[in-house]
Amino acid sequence: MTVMGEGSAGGRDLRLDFFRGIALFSIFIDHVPDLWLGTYTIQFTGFYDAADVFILISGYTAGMVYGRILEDRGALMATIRVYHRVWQLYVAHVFLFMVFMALIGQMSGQWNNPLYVEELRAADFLREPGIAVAMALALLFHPAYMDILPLYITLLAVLPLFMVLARWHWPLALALSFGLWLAVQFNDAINLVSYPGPHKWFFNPFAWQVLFLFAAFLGWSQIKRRNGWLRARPLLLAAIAMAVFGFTIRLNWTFNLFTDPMPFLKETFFLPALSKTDMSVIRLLNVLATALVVAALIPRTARFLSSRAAWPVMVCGRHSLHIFCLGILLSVLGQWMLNELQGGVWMQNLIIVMGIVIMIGVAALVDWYGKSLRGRRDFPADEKAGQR
Amino acid sequence: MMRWGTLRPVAVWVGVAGVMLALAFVPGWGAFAQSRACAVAPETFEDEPVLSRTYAALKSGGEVAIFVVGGASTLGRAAGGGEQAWPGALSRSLKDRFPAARITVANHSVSRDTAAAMLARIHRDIIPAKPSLVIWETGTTDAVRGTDSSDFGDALEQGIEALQKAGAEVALMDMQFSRRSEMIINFNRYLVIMRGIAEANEVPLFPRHEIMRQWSEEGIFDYRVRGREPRRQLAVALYGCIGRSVADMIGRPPVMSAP
Repeated sequence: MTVMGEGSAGGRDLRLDFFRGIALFSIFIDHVPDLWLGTYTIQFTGFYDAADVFILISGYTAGMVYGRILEDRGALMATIRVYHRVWQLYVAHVFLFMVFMALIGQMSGQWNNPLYVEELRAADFLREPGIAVAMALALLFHPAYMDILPLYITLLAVLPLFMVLARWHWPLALALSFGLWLAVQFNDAINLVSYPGPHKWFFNPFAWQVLFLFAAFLGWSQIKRRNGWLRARPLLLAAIAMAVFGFTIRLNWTFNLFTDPMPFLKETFFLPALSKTDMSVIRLLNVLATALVVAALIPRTARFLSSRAAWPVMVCGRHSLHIFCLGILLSVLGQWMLNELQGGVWMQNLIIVMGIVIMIGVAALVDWYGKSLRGRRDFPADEKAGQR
Repeated sequence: MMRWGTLRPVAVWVGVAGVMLALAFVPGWGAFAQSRACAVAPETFEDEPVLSRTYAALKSGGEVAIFVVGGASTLGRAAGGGEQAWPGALSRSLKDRFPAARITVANHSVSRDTAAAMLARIHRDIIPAKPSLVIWETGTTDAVRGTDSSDFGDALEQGIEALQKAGAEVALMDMQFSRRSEMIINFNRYLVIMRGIAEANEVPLFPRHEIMRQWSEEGIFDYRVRGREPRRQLAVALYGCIGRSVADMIGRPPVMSAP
């Protein structure tokens, strides 16, 4: 593996790091409820949000990294590599869950305000913490916003299966993936259960797999230079139309630009067709189209990607496993601060600024530590290649 | 000596942080300087459709039968229930403002009902009673249980439609706010659905969640108090403020005239 973290010459696509960095900041901000900045994160630009972008880029990168390993060193090695990553994510998930339980438990004396007698039902899991822990270990308990990591773990866990199948017969593999997603569009009962019932998974894995696996397929094709068809003019024009459509409609919702002359452009009209849980058709097309347009507009060699102003974003995107988990942790802590200390706007801004500074700081440390290890014999170079 | 070229990226990020901190002081948070501490700024209801028939009846001294369908926060046991719940405060406030009108407020709330369960009650108990206005407080139990978004929306649509067909005007009310419950419940999805359905059916929505959030940020209420008696007092005061603010929304004349 020669793909290292530096420069565009080594084959690392810096655009992936940059936009994943943006998605990571966005996920952090979106997960502290009611932050004013939440309106202007990735969801501002179309019918998708940071989660879609994160899963898309993670899938693409995973396709590049593990596709290379699969071709160079075989399916077993690729599977082991993927499951090594799955294990890291799983441990991170368990850690985050423990922090969440500790914060909730710390407030346990306060969960009995009669003013919130209905809301408190949601804290019922505190009465049977043993079961809650077991369900969290089984990835079936997703309190509040702890739902992306279980999705990501699940998707990564099925990736080797998909890749082995795709190597043997790629149209079949894609057909299965899209077929399953399509089945969910017609019957949203196809979903996994989630504790405590009757919840289902907020990110339906049977639907979201299509975004991750298709992106992985594209990433894998990229290293084999088979993505020329993505630059076909008609496809690009269609993508531009879709991206502009999504952006315009979404902009209208934020600022109410032309709702009065055209009331049918209201959010209400689109909402039934925009299921996040089931990754609706419009949502999927919009995020793929926007990704294609952005990739066409910003060349791999764009100067700003290696500029110093972009570096804080890049470094976070480069170490996205760490920074993603840190972001979730920070958003839970931020929420706790808003609740227990003070909930005003200045506190919200403090949390946004502090959170992002901490994310950049930790990413910089991880980066520096990784570089200091580089060159040592025992350091597995390819582990650096596609860190997410 | 550091050159500007080296400092520029740092300056960019310091600038971004500075702008964000500065924005903290921009949204003029002085709109609450009113006679009662928890008064809601009149602009809050600016975009909500007016309840013209109810207003006409109030103004002309007619009969106004208001039915409230809701959950635990409308039942108001935290404040002792009955007249202490917010519909009680609504009733008192409307009677003060429109002394000639014959106003009745009936509270048909049951703790821990989903919107679908409330829909059944609307058909069974409310429609036969010929209400002139129905205030429907819902969403909490659905958010707690994670009701499917489209099922939640369908129940709301059907309820509004059935009530309107029966000749009643309808207003919606969304969930209570507390940061603590936001740590374990994802309200936002359901808030968006309620807002969408209110707009699509041109019924006013009392934004209780947003109003309670502002009260919290303003320091008007601290929902975190401990102890039985302070919590009861909080509930009494809060329900009083909610009831009066609902009266503000209902008591708006059809054409807004300049004061």
